[in-house]
Amino acid sequence: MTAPGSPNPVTVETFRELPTFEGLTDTQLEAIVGLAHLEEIDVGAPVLSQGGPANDMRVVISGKCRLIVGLAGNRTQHLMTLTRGEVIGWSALLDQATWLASATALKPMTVLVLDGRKLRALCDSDHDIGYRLMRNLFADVAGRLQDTRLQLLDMYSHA
Amino acid sequence: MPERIAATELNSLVSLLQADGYRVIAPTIRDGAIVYDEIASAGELPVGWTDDQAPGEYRLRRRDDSAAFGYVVGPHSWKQFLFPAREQLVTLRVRDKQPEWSAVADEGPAYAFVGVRGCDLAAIEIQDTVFTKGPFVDGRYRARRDRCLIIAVNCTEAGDLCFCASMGTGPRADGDYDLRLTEVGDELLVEAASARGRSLMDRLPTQAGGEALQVQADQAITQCGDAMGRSLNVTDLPAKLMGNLEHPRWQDVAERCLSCGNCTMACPTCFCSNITDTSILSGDETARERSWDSCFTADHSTIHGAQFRPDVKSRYQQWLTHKLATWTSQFGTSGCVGCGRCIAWCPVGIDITEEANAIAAGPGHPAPLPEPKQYEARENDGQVPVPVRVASVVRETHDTVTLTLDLPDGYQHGHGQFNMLSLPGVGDVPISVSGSNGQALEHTLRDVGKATGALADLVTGDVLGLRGPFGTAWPIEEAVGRSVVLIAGGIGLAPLRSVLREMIARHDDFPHLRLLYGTRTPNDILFSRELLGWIQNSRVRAHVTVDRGDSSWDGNIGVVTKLIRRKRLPKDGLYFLCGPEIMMHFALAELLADDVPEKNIYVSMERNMKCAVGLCGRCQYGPHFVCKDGPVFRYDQISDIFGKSGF
Repeated sequence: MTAPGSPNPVTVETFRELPTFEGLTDTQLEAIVGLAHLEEIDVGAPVLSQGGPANDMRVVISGKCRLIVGLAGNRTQHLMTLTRGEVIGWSALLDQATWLASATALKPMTVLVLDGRKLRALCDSDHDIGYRLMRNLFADVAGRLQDTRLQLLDMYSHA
Repeated sequence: MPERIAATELNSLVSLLQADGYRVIAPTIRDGAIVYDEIASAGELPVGWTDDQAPGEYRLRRRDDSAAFGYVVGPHSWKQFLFPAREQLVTLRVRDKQPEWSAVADEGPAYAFVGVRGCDLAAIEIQDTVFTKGPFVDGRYRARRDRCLIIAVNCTEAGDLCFCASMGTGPRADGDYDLRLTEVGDELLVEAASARGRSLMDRLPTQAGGEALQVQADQAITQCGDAMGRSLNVTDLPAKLMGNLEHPRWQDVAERCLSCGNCTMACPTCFCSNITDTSILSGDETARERSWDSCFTADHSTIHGAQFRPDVKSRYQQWLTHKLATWTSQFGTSGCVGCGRCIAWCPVGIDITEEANAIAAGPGHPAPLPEPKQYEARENDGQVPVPVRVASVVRETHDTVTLTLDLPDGYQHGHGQFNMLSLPGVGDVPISVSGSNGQALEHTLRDVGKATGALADLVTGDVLGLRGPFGTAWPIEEAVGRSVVLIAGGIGLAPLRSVLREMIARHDDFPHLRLLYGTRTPNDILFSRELLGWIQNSRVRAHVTVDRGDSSWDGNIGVVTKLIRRKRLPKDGLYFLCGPEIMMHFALAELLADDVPEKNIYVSMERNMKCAVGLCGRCQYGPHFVCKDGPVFRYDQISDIFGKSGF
């Protein structure tokens, strides 16, 4: 893992072309740089673990992971795979949340880790940033909900 | 020059027709109605009778004169003779386990129709367009029509339900007749319009002085036109109806309509039919029969066990919008001739003029329909399968197989077209071509019912029947030099496989090629070995995703729309989509949200093809027929109706 202040520090450039930060100015992004760091994750390593405290929100910079929900009796349900630009663990934007799913790297990953508490505080203090960020995240969540509906429809069963 | 004949001489006409070898069909009284049937003499005409008609009502009544044509139209129309309610098209015989299909020869009689009204003459011409203007020509219909002789009658009295004047089809019987009569008092004005008609006129005991009678006849016809019991405002009617699909009147009429289909049976232009295979017990001989069908039946709108017109409202809407709106795009004319039969014979008296006038006057913005299509008529009616041998069977997944068939002689197809595959006693199934080479033709099909199950059970060496190819192909040449994205869902990869193969082989023409493929689970992935080759091939960027995966699957999990969102797709690229309609619906939404123009998107709408040659009406999709105008449509052709309830 790469800790804050490592040879690959987060800069405004890190946020370029990530849908979550679309529409934010460089000045606004600089405010977010300070509460973010990059992490490298090996294949098979956990990105986050179900039930753990949702302290950080992550955005995939490169690589791929899968999101898994653990069910009773050691059963698991593989929900989706996530790649560049996609958000892992938006529960961190909720107060005192825990992870609702686990994520495991399928390919070597670099993820942008944002401190959830500080991000919430930033959004509270600067509503322009907060609005833009929440709007982008809402679009992401809406897309996920839509995808889940399609999965529930089992649309290929009668193709 | 018109001539005159005494009404009492009508029997001379009947005798002449019989002497010329015609079976004379004319109005006659049966079961309390004036029907069309064979007559032996003019004495069987309803002389001195008329009919009183109202919505849901029909009664015969004695006239106080002895007019031979003093009534309008009854429950019958002439279509029952040209397009019989039930007829055998094809015979299949199995000899030494080898099936052979052959067309059933049309050996019917030559009919002489006596007393064809203007509305019915127009109806015959409309069915001529349906059955003979291509792309496939119903040779049996055409033969009957060519043999048929028509003696038309101008109407001089309008019925309460008549509205031919507003439809432009009467009361004068203009069009393709041989001889035309106008009854004036106890005389008939006689006009010939063909060599056959003139020959008859020469032999009839006519008298000169027709011009004077003509004046009286014209006056009576004009008065009849002014006295129509009903009228329909046809100005811009198709666009007005299509623009008012949300009008509350549809629900109102649906609450009255019994969905019985009487209107479609009585209608002289309705042509929808069903096709069934009936075998003798040994299975060695099977008759493929065509029978009248109705868009009001549940079966007519059933696909894969689900009904896409589940309620009366959508069925009535289909019937009315087809008859008065989309028909114009399909055949260049309205499908209604104003005869009023559907009003009289509706058990609850629904009046097409009242409903259409009310709906068309609604607040909806007129929605124009496409211009009528022109087809090149072919000699082949496309109805007779040829036997083909199964060269090999590959099981793709637990429920999907690829049948490789020996290529029939001279067979050529475009990528995206489909064939009808036939098995004795089972019937016809539309299956798109999933691949081909110089010797073999591949079809990939999923076992979802009796017919596909029987096809999936075939083994190498078995023989089945093949008709085709049918429909439109992917516009591969339009895609040359452009970015091409193929988006497939489930079995929808099959119609895209052959086009992808060709595009990969022609790398210089298609340098930017992408495949996005979504399916249910890793076990449902089609062509898995070939797909792996595509993923590893630098000529194509292929991405696969599954809705559900387990730990043994390290590929993408998520719906195919997620892949569309994830990849940066070119706005000016060309998109080919094939999969379940619900998947295409959401895939289209992603592309359109990304500003991809509708004209850059092609979709394959394989649904409900039955006859495959544009004659049975079953695969109608708004102004289109999927079997002849599709299955591959440019999206802007269908964007007004795609995903809309009732279509």
